[in-house]
Amino acid sequence: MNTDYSSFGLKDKIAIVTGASQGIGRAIALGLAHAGAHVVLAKHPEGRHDEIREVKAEIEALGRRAEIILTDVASVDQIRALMEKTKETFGRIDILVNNAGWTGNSMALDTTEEEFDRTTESSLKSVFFACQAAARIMIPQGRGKIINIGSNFGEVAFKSRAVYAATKAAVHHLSRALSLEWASQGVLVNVVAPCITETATRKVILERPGYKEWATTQMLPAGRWNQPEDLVGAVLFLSSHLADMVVGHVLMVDGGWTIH
Amino acid sequence: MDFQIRGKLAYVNAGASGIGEAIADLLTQEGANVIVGDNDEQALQEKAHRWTGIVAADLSTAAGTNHAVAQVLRIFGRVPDILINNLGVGNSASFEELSDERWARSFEINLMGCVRMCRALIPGMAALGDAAIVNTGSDLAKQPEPGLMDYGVCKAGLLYLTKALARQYAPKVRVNTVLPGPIWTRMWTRPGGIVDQLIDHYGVEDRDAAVKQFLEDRYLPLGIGQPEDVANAVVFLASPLAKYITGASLDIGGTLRGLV
Ligand SMILES: NC(=O)c1ccc[n+]([C@@H]2O[C@H](COP(=O)([O-])OP(=O)(O)OC[C@H]3O[C@@H](n4cnc5c(N)ncnc54)[C@H](O)[C@@H]3O)[C@@H](O)[C@H]2O)c1
Repeated sequence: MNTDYSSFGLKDKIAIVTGASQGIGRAIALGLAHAGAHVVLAKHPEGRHDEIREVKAEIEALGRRAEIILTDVASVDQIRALMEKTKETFGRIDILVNNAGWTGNSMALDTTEEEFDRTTESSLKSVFFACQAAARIMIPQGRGKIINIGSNFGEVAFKSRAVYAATKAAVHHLSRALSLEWASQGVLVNVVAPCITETATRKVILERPGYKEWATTQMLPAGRWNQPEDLVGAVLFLSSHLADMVVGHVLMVDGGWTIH
Repeated sequence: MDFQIRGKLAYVNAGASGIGEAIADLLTQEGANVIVGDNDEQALQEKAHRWTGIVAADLSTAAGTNHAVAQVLRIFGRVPDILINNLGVGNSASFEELSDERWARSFEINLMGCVRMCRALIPGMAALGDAAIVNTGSDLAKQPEPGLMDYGVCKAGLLYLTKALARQYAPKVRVNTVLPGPIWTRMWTRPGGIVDQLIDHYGVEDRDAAVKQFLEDRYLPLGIGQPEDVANAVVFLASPLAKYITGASLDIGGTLRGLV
């Protein structure tokens, strides 16, 4: 499939992608750049920095601007600073993709308070305050697109991910509610909900004995794992003028997992 | 736009006007070869020059569907890569007025048209290995409208059909539905159409007042959509940009009240 997405009409749009170093965030950041957008790459201050620099270099090689802004999305101050800095640097925010998030894998009985807080702060509280801070800039612009990355587990239940699933369900519902408040002011909030996607951080789960066989034969009509690139089309569609009448929607990109 | 469907063969079932016409035109503009079926022979003849082929048939009957299928196979020389099931007609009536005959008629138009077309074409499409079906549902599948119960029940049936077919034919045929909210077509503007019904219902003089009242009554922050808004979503779902999306339904216009 070709990655010339220039026809989406996103040339020179200003996009922010959180958690853009790798996996889904990386694919989306590159997809937006291929569509002509300049991209702010938000990355957690800790951990390795070589990957995000590579994403920046790849985007710049396409002739698009890329800025890395170190942001712990669990910190409301840092989230607000991310939006302010983007506005200072680029003058506006057209597209926000809330992709960053952390999740524990414990069974419910083993889930500690710390794991609960870390999951909800990085995957729910972060999304709410990022939407709020972006909307404060987008509403005066009269236009803006926010895409929150949800999950099939936000719609259907799954073992060992109770807290994660609950935060994703909350993100889905939050997006509908925010749409009701902001749609008439031009800010459209939607969700792209992938099923488990073949990325480095999900390796532990994907490589559990028997899991792949079970999932791809029993749970996934598509018969294969989601790849980060599979999400790009949906994000570009929702970011673009093509979806100017789509609002508060949870678009499942899950190979049919939630059909069951 | 480049939806990457150049050279694909597409059949639009009920596409001589309104949403179907916009879909046929967008598919054509994107480089697909398009045949349009409809029972409005005059409209088909007028617009025939825009498409690869036309077929006049009553698509609410088995005989009409068989005729259309035969014509499509003859003109293309094989099954299409893309099938759009857009047949649907809503005529408002109170629940008590809906006789068995009216229910049966609605069932033929709003559900069986799609069932028969899929049954005829899907085995061949599965053999192609990479085909797509998009059905035109309605927001009423999720949000009951007392005056259009027969129509809404059939549209809800389409959602089930979409998921069941998606499940059975994955990964070879992707099957998705769009759920448009109010879209400005003949369904609204024709004599006795939705606008006239609203004028009666609200006891107001003119159509603007009726539509304004309607938009306020339902929470529709983005107003009434255009056929192109639906076409954009349909062609996106039919395209390789949506290659991991199957069994999904895409709301157009902000279907934020109903739950399915
Ligand atoms: N307009 C809306 O507000 C709206 C909202 C949700 C869903 N829809 C759905 O969109 C689809 C298209 O509707 P539209 O609004 O474009 O209406 P439309 O009246 O403009 O177009 C419908 C087309 O279907 C054709 N048709 C009707 N009966 C037929 C038959 N028996 N055999 C063959 N062709 C037949 C008509 O000739 C026409 O070309 C329908 O499935 C409808 O249910 C419309």
